[in-house]
Amino acid sequence: MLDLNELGGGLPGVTPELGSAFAQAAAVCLELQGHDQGTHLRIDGQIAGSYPLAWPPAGDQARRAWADHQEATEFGAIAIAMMLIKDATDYTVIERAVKGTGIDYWLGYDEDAPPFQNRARLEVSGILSAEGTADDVVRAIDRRVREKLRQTQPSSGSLPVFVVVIEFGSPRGKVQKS
Amino acid sequence: MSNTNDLHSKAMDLAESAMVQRLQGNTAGATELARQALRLEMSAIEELQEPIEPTYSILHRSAGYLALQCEEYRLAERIAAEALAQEPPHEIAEELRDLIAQVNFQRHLALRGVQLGQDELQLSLSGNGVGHGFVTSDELIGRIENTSRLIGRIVEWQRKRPFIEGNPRKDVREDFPVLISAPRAASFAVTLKVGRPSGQQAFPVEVEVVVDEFMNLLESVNRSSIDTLEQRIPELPYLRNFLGLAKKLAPDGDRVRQVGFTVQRGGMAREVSFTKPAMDIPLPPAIEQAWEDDSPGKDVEVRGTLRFADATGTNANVIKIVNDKGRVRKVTVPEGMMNDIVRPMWDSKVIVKGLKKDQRITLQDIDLDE
Repeated sequence: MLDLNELGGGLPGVTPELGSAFAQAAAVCLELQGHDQGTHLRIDGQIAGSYPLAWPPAGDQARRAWADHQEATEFGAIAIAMMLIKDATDYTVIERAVKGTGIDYWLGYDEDAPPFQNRARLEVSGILSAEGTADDVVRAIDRRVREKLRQTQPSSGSLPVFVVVIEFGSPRGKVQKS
Repeated sequence: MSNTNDLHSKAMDLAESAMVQRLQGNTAGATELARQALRLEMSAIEELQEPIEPTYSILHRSAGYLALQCEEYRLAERIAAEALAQEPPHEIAEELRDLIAQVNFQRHLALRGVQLGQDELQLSLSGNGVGHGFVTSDELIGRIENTSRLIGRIVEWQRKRPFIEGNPRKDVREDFPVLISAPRAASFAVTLKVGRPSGQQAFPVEVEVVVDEFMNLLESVNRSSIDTLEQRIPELPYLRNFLGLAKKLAPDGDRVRQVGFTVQRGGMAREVSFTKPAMDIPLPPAIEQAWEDDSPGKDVEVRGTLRFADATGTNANVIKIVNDKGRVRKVTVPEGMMNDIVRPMWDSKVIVKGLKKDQRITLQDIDLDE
């Protein structure tokens, strides 16, 4: 079970305040798509599997706060990616850095090392609802994974990257490490 | 090293709180928290014994973006340059260069000695398709034409005249023409001057109010404050039209990464840095709701060449999209979008997003298929 409520307690690299906001964004996206608690998220790629989801119910206030669905999708995908990585790999979010007006997350195991040493970057992207058949959804997710890899590692990229793309309509996603 | 870790960790806690404040619309609170985070991040860098990578460059990138959030542009530039002078990993070096480009764009938004009248606005462009003083003609001319269209539509709306397809009315075009200055090398910048009506107006509209409304509109779109827009512009055809034109002004995220407008009010510059790519601009709920009420159908995407766009006669507001195999799809265009949004794409390859009910598709969004 990927329980997004856990984000409300924070992670080593995420404050409870922001963790709650991310979880709320995911809740708004999942409920907008008509999903019920316990719905299964199907993941392809490195940590393929089917993961039942739980989330803090999104009330009217949360829906108003996340009226910009583009933003909700982006932050909601981060919430799911963080919990997915934490539950299905040995990594967890351990480092943060500022990038643009947002936060860039890094994965690792060892908190004693200097910041960003032996870390993998977490790159997340969300799709609220891809159009078409199940095959179309998979193609849309694959396309987004390729775009993210291209953006993150323009040519001779040297830092390891986990790319996670979440589509809320199905819901479905993909995790790819490079 | 633990000092660096501790200071960086505290800086990021504050940066996260700043982000939460920004999401809640508290810009002043967010800036103050970002300022505190910047001080700690700079201390974390000072505590580093040697410039080990990627630690050194990532901490600099982080501090640089915090400085940018605090509008400390010179500091942001210096921080990015310090990191680039070392040996950052390729991808971090690219991000540091992006940071410098954003700092430069903020400098270009500033007027740098240019005085603007109440009826003038500066348009600045930056991105991979913009050189120092040069820009591809498509990127510039399209945006000037769409600025002019949007100004005309704002005047019609402020004169409380019903929306009509076709160009803005003749009297509006004559009263409020948009004039262009010689370009300046500031990535690329020009001054646009909105003309003033010479005679007496039946429905007086001040040109300053039109320019301010233009800035308010773009600011709302860039911030995705669609609720604000809906409240200000309850007339759906105007709302669709404004949103459609704003999307055409928006950056594409590559060739043009930032589109800036600057005006001068009370001796101070007011800037709107339009950074949201067109594809990320959401449709206002009022539009979505109207389509759902009219045609609760299925989302569809149609690709092909736009062969037909007519706003008159028996085929009013219908376009035809012809795909590579010659298959023709008819699409109905809602009021407010035909002339300014759809018609300029005639004979081009387009992607149409729409709602399909029975055999009828109603246009939701249209973009060039590039």
